[in-house]
Amino acid sequence: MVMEIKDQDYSVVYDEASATITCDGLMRLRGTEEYAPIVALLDQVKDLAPATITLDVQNLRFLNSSGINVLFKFVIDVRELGKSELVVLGSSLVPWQGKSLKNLQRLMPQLRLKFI
Amino acid sequence: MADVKPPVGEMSLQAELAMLREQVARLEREKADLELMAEMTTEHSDEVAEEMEDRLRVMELLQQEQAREGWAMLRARRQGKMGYIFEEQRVQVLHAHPQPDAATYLVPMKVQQGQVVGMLGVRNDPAHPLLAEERALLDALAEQVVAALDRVRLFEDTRRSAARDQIISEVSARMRASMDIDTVLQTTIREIGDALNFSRVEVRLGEVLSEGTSEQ
Repeated sequence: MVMEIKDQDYSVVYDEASATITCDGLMRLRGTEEYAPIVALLDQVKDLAPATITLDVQNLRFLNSSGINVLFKFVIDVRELGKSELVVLGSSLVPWQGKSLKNLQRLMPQLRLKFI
Repeated sequence: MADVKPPVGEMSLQAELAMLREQVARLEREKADLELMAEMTTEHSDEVAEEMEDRLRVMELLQQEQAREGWAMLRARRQGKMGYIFEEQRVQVLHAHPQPDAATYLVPMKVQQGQVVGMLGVRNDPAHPLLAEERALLDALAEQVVAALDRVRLFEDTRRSAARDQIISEVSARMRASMDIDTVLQTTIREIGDALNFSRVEVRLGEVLSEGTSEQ
């Protein structure tokens, strides 16, 4: 099963075989309402509860505040459910990721972060 | 009917207490998460804003550099024609910058990025110095002149690049239409010579080792 949301500027794709959510492009949606489909996809993945969920944002060049909030909530939800490990793949070439991805570990200390 | 609560045993009281404690703990955890999220969202916004500002600065620098090059090219194309002077009801070409003198009031003509691209000057008779409002008017006019010049420069740039694109597409269309090597080579030099007005154009096959040396 592959779940995906694609837009001109961004895409969010879940590949079940590798339990990987890949977010690419520029995400600058407005507020909770516009992020709802993405939140729904993330929720589904959390409920599928694979042993390890990989979140690959290496090519997510821009993410606004509403977007980072969606990621924060997802990390909290996965932590609270306690069924999956979380691995986040980032890129050291994308300036915002340096600080904000490290911050994910403040919400979930056992989260594994890899900068590629 | 009176609302009669069932008697509460010590065990269920303790269970309720435990449940409440758990709820409190959960709420405290949520509160901590929310506080952390608020803090980290602000950090994220700051980070992104900084990144945008950096990019904007780089773009501004590039734009400045491009404008500087554009103006330098424009001056080079004018082959020493510096400007014009209007004196005794006649317009004359200026081939050199006039010597600075105290009787000339000069206003620098600045483009948006602050680069001075020229000067607008009027005679300022020391016996009747310019009034403040005349100076202000000249300042405003200098801005208008430079805006008009910048528009012409950009228009010329666009026209030149359009003309270049057209030459490339015409020449390559004719070259593609040729079906044998000799025709391609001959068409190439003829078209380039015609389109760009070169008195001599050559095309050869084979490697040339260095300038001035022929093939081995």
